[in-house]
Amino acid sequence: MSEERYLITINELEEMFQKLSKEYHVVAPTSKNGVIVFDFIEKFDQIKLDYIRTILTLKKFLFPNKEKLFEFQYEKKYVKVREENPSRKYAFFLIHPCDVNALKILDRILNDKYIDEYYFRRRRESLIITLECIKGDEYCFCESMGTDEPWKNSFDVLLHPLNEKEFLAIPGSAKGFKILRDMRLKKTDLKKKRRRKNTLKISIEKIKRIKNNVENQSWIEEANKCISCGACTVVCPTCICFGVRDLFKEPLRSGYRFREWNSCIYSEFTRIAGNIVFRKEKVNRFKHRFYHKFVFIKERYDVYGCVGCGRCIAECINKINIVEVINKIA
Amino acid sequence: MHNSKSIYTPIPAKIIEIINEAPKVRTFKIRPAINHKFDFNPGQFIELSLYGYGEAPFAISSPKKILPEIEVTVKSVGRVTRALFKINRNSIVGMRGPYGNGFPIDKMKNKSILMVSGGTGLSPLRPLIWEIYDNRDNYEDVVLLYGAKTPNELLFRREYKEWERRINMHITVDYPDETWSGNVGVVTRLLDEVEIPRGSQTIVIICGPPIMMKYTILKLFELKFMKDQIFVSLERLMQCGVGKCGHCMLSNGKYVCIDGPIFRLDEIPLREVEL
Repeated sequence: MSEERYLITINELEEMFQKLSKEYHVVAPTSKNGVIVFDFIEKFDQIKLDYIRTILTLKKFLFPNKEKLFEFQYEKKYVKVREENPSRKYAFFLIHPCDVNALKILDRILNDKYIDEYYFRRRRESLIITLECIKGDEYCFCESMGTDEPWKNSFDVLLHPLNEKEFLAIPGSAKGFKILRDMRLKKTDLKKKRRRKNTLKISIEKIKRIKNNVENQSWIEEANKCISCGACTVVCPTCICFGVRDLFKEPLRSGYRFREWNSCIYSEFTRIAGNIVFRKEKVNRFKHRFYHKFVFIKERYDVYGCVGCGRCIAECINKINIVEVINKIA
Repeated sequence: MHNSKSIYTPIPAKIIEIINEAPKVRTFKIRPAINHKFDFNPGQFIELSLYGYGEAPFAISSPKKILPEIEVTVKSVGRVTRALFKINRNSIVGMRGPYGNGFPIDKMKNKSILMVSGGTGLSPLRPLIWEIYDNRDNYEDVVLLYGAKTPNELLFRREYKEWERRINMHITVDYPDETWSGNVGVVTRLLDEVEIPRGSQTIVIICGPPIMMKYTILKLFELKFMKDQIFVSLERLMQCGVGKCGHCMLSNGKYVCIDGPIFRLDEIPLREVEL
């Protein structure tokens, strides 16, 4: 698809929102109790256009914190199992490239040899309107991770802010193309504006070097700052470790199985029956998260498990800085 | 009927026999729902569900020849296993799998095989033992060393006589009772005391509790075995079984559930076997 560019005004963007609302559950950045979150939007003016980052990422919709897998019912001679079928059509509206690219990473992890249908049933139905981010803050390092622009096939429509009232609109899929065409927007050859450069930087060379620095003493120092709260994994767009549990409903003849987010940072994460814990020391759990993101995911899926969104730094109670840690280790 | 699409949904199965193996250890014979194609390699595991209590991974402990029935041998140590000990014959459970890689049977052909096992670690080996038994000509010397705390805790005793016809089996217990006239001591002692195959044409397979694996490996190193001849079966929390939930990931990024549970010793960091 040769790149076609359209000019879209804020009023036309509202029109797009109205149209999408008829077919989709529209999710966009909005202000809730003074913080920016992704949430369902009913009115266009609830949307916070000039946001930097939300607390949680789109995984809270596509890979929810607590998700029912199936229900069971004990009958006389068998157990009836009814699988959940989560089919909700989401339009993710005005999502920054880092978060959109994170979904491409989840796509690979969750569609390896085995396909996680709970994620993909929603993912396949969802529409993505990306909003390029031109500001960022001191925690952003998307440029270093190559995620400051949306990757190929990651969006339906890409919006690029020209000023407060006007955007470039670029289709990224047949669906996106149809949306823009139906709106009868004007074509334009205006250029993208330059985005503000990240102040936080990490080189790929450094990232590659952590593999050979497993025993570096700095790991211990850095891990000592960690309180094992797991906030970094909760807010991370690519952390999807989960636990599975069953619950009975009264009168104990039926119930359901569900999964919920878990975290490799927690000491009980590797506990098995008989009370054996395989990653007992905090430093090993702390390291594991780094190696998973920057070595293991890369080796297995040929993509880094980090998009440089900065959430793990922003939400860390001790402001442990993932970039500074790597810079210190490597 | 059950049209399962999700990788996390078990297929229904029925408990058709429960065998008391040892104190706190039982073997459950399971028959999957009719028309379900099920095959496995020795060393693979299943996820067994007891609806309402949860799901847990268990190595398949039965020989392939009893398919479509399979057995798992369970020690009552956790939530799911304790619940399993409360159910009866004909109870309905769920199963998913088989998962994991299984033993490297192709690489074992025409080699001598040394199996070292402790406690309930004999369960994953049982299908392998029968595989070797049934195709004995494919292998050179085959030795099985097995240790348990007490004679009571030795698993599958009803089959030893048969196995011994084709396999050199040596058993030891830590704490003998008045009926015991065999070896006494930890299983690693057998490595010094009995004749075992040696040299580069021997494959060693270890399956047992972490501490037993550790000392067995140390002993094998002493006996000049190389890492690339030694295979271990690792136990971790394989909760999803399909490389997603993250619990069983080793410190080198390998998933025990999809890359293991059988690893050649040079494929994993030694700290995963407590070294």
